[in-house]
Amino acid sequence: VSLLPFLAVAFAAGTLSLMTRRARVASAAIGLLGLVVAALLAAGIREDQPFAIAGGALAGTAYARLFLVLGCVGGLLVSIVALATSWPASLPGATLIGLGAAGIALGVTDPGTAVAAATGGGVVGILITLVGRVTERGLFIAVRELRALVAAGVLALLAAAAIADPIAAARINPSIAALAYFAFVAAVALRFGAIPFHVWAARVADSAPEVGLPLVTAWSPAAFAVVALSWTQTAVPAFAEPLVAERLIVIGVAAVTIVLATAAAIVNDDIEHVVGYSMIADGGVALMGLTVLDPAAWAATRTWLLAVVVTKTAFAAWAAAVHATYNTRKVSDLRGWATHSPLLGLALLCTLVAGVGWPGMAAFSARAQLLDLALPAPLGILLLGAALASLFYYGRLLVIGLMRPTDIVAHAAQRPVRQQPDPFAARPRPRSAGRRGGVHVPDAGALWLARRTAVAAIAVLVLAALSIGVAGGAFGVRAAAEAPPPLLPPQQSALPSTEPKASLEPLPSPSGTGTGPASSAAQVGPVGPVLSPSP
Amino acid sequence: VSPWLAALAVAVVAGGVVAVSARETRAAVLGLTVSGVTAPLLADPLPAPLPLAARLVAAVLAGYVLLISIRARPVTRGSRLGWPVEALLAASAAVAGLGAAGFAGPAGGPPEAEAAAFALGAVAIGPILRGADVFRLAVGLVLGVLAAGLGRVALAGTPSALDQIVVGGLTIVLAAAAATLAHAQARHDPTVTTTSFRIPLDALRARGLLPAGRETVVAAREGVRRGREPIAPGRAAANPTVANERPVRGVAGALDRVLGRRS
Repeated sequence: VSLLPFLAVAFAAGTLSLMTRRARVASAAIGLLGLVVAALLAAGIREDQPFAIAGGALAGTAYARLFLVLGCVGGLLVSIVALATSWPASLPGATLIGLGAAGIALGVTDPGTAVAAATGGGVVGILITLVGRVTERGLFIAVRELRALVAAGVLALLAAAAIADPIAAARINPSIAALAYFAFVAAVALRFGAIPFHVWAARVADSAPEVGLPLVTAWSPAAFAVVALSWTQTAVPAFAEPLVAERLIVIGVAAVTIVLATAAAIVNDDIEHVVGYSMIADGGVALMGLTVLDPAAWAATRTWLLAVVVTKTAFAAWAAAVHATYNTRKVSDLRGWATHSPLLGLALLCTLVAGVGWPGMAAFSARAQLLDLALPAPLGILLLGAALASLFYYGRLLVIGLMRPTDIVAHAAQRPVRQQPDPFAARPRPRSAGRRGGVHVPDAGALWLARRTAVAAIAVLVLAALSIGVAGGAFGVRAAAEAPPPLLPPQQSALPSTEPKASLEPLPSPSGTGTGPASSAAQVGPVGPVLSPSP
Repeated sequence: VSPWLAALAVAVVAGGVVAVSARETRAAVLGLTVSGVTAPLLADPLPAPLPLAARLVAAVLAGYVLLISIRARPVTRGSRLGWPVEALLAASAAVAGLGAAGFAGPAGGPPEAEAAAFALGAVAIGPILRGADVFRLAVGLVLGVLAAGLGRVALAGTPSALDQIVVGGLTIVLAAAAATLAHAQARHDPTVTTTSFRIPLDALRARGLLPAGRETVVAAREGVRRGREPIAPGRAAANPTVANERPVRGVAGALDRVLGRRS
């Protein structure tokens, strides 16, 4: 029940903000206020029993609470950065609806419903990519994105329908079961833009505003991946076949994605491309989590997803702030940026710490554990090295920022630390300026214009600090990631069984132990007690 | 095979065939709406009235949203193969789906749903893979979602009410996003598509297929294409040879036309 107020506010405020987007001030005010209220309501989500609604069930979980709170706070901070840089009118509305859809996806007990919700949330994100006068290229990219999103949704819907629960998984044709697993994981790869499905994601990173990237390429795919993880961890262990070949193919795709996307991020000269490829590379690690059918991968994958989305939100916000400050996206033109924008430099340093990490941090441990579980020792260590090469693209940006400034940086019109416009200077429309009760009140608009770059830098810094906290395991990340998915209580989930004889037995699990959903599904599956037919 | 369900499956597939074959966008939207309205009924047992109503409203709303987006674009490419080929393709896929009922294990829903899912999926693949314009892609994507929904019914039985509502929401969101893109494309240049296909405006005008009220805009767009000064849609045309008057719509426009005040 605690999830419902959040959903109501997210959908209502998001829809209202989108419908009024031609009235920019009203739309922004509704969206920002909606994000604040939604964050407060998300913080009130409790771990409670599934609430039966319309034949289905919704439940609040600790993970959903953390995901949604961080999403709302991140969305709010990104919106502040957008206000100060480039404002896509659809940003707060699409963020709210996307997070509302993620709330349904994380709270609902039926995997098919969760997939439909996660797909709908992703589709709304397309609105962010269309900003200003639509060009033929922008339209083409948005069309590609829409096609990829819906194709992924259709694949996952069919897979979830084929194997709705462990009972179905146990009695399904093994080849169809393997096909369903492959389809669901391919859908996740499509959503993350994993290589070879990376074309749409790379083009979106080029075309969409930086502030829109977190929702399109991080939050929405992450919610989809969490749904896929719940499905694979509860249903797939019941398969009769071990799915060796299928998992090997997915491991290959994930490994290639990690290596090539990291390399692309290192060598690219466009900061938007760097952000985009870094997101794709981190998606490869998440994809690796879907290949491990061990309950030990459950908490690690969820921890990684949570850390990645916050870190990449901070990275994208940093890119937006740098782009707006120096009016260029070329890395080679940005020499000396860090010395002229120390707040942004500090923010990138924090993002580096969160993105790369060190042993002991939750995100670092999660990544190392996932790669260790998915691959044997030498290969796993090599791939971990490739993943840690993210240090180079962060480090390259920082080193360039400390070099001798280029003319573009040295003559940037708006810098957060020097030569700010005088807020008391005469303005064409001094609406709120003047003397009130003997006190000179500065024009709020002039103040905003003068300080907006600094405000954006502070928002980016807060986001980066938040990402360090999440990557380090603060805010109860570990406990939330280890919690099982929402499950129906036995009295609500008793389904009539068509099997002649059935006995209540625990699910076979590769490792047998663990705190993941497979062990909890052994007692109560997503649609009821796990019944295995007796011979 | 139940006759009622078989008739519904035929209606679903016929709507899909019309949607992908028609060159007039309004006919395509009509086919899509028919398919969207009849698809939720193809279940055994039938969904409860309220979630069914939600799906029906979602299908109609999705059609209406797409209709709004294509006011400036009366035609689409349609199927180059023609409707008989699309119908044959759908029929063969439906037969394959009917024969494959229960292929994944014990079937949870009617075989007619599986046949319709296969047929809709077959006709949707073309527009999805090679959507010549955004509207046609939107038709393919909505049909793909409908096919996935029918596949779910065939595999797992009638979905819950919550699922029906969420799928209805997905249909509306998808149609709205596609309509936004289609509208943006029409504003950009209604004669340009993502492929080399160009709308034959002269032929359409000669056949009287251009809807009243849009000639000014289309003529202005043609001006843009031919290198004249661009103008905003709905405003006075830059070319003096083009009618320099904004068409009056609605009841007033109809009265004007009836009374002959406008040429």
